[in-house]
Amino acid sequence: MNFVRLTWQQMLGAVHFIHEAKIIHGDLKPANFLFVKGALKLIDFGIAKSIESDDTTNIYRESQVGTLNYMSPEAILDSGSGAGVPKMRLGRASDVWSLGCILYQMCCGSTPFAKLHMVQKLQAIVNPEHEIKFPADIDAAAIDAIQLCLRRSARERPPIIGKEGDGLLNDHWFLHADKT
Amino acid sequence: MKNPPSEEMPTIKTPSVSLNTSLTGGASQMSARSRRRMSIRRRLAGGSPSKGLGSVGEANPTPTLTTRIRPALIGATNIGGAGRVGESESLSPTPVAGASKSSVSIKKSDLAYMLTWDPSKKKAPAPVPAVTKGGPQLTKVEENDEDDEDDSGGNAAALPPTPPVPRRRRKEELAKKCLKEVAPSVAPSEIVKSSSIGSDGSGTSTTSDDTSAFLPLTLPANLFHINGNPYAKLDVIGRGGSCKVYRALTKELGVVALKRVKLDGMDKKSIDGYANEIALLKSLQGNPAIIEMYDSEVDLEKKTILIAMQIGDVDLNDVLKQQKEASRDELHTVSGVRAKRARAKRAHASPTASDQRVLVPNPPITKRCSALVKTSVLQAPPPSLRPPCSHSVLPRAG
Repeated sequence: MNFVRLTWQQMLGAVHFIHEAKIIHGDLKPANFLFVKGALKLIDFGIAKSIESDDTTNIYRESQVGTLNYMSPEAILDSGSGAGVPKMRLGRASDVWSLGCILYQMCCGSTPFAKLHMVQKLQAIVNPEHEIKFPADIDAAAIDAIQLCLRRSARERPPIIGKEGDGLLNDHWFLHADKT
Repeated sequence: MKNPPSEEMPTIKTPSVSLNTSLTGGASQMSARSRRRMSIRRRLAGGSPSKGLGSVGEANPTPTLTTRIRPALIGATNIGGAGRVGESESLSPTPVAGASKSSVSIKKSDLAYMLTWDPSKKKAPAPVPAVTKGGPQLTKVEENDEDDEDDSGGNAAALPPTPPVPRRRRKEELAKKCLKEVAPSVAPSEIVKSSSIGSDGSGTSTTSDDTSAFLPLTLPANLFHINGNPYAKLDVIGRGGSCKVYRALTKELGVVALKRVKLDGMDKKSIDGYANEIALLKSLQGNPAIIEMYDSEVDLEKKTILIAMQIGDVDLNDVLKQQKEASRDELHTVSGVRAKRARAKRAHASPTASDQRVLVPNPPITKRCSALVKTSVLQAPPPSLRPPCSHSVLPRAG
């Protein structure tokens, strides 16, 4: 569990850094994090994304399925929307969602929507009614952190560094056992 | 007998010595082998090579060389010295003649052969300090010295740190001396040729600086160039969509990750996207949480983008995969152990009627379960329990 905590901390730090530089990754997944001498580093800033958007035949095969697991509701609504629906903007919260999915995977062994098929998956990610379940014996603090990240509404997701005691990196009790 | 890598070693300044040596070992297997052969022959030759070294030390007194040679010399010089005094005059003609014969074979094939001739060489240079020798030899020696200086220009810089360098240098010098000795009896034009052969390694290394830095290692097809710097492909470590990631070797013998994106059939928008990504990476450099980018190039002619980046150990995806597999294995073993324990418990229980009931489900389980459980079933219960087991199956089948 301590490995998960350390990795989580480093992931939050890296993503926070690019957010500070006004960059939204938009396509975070475990493959984008590289261990270099024990330290976690962020690689790829959307190269994969531009590949996918370029190669349409691949979207519904491997690449998109792979990334769909970490895709935020707003990203799905965004890309799936027809002409009439107003486009939703990807924000920092979208990256937070993806981080939540990664944390879920680190704790539970697979992504929260891994077992569902394509269409079900899309619906489950978007649908607030769909409850994300956790296996037994998962750390309660981790569950809380994941649930905060996986709020369907982007506005309700916590910031990585918060000023009001709600930051995932600087406040949350998964990383700060003294704060409950 | 070309060994360019050995010559490159001194000129290339590398931070990591281990890499350096390992590379030269892999790069020039042939030369490494031949070197080994030489050293072996040298040893076989006995004191003779050390004599040669002694002469080298005398000819141009480099402190590092002499100190290293000293232990080997202690034994050899006595013999050599004794030999020199008496032999120098009487024997000097014969070695020269022999050398001239051998020189042909030396040029063509074998440096090691030259090394065996070192003792005879010594006898020739040894007299030089005495100045009793004729004018022509002296002039030749001077030529030699010039050669030495020329070559040492490359070597001298790298001389102190690595032990193999002096060895090589010795060889070179020995070879040169051989050639010089041969020289008097051979036409001057031949001397030039032979010396060029002798210093072949250094010659190639000086002429081939950047583009063919990896020549002994790789075909041109295995080289990438980023802003003129060559990178040697090692292997593919990842691929996705239209990009491949290679492990590659830099000219300075560092290992990097080299990402190559093929722009074939891409529209301008996505190309801009890549360019943007490179710009982003550049702007974010310096933070420990961001991968280091060393160099990059967008080649619109070849329609490729090349990015040289810091190489990592493993990505989080692989780590998570491994963990999952590990936990799966663990589950297997846990269930296996549980099954084993259950079997053991049953085995210890008394063989009564109730026992038969317990044992009934065994056969199907053994069919399904892994070999581990199977063996536990077969081994755990004492032989006395088996009859009821088979009995219990029979009535069921009937």
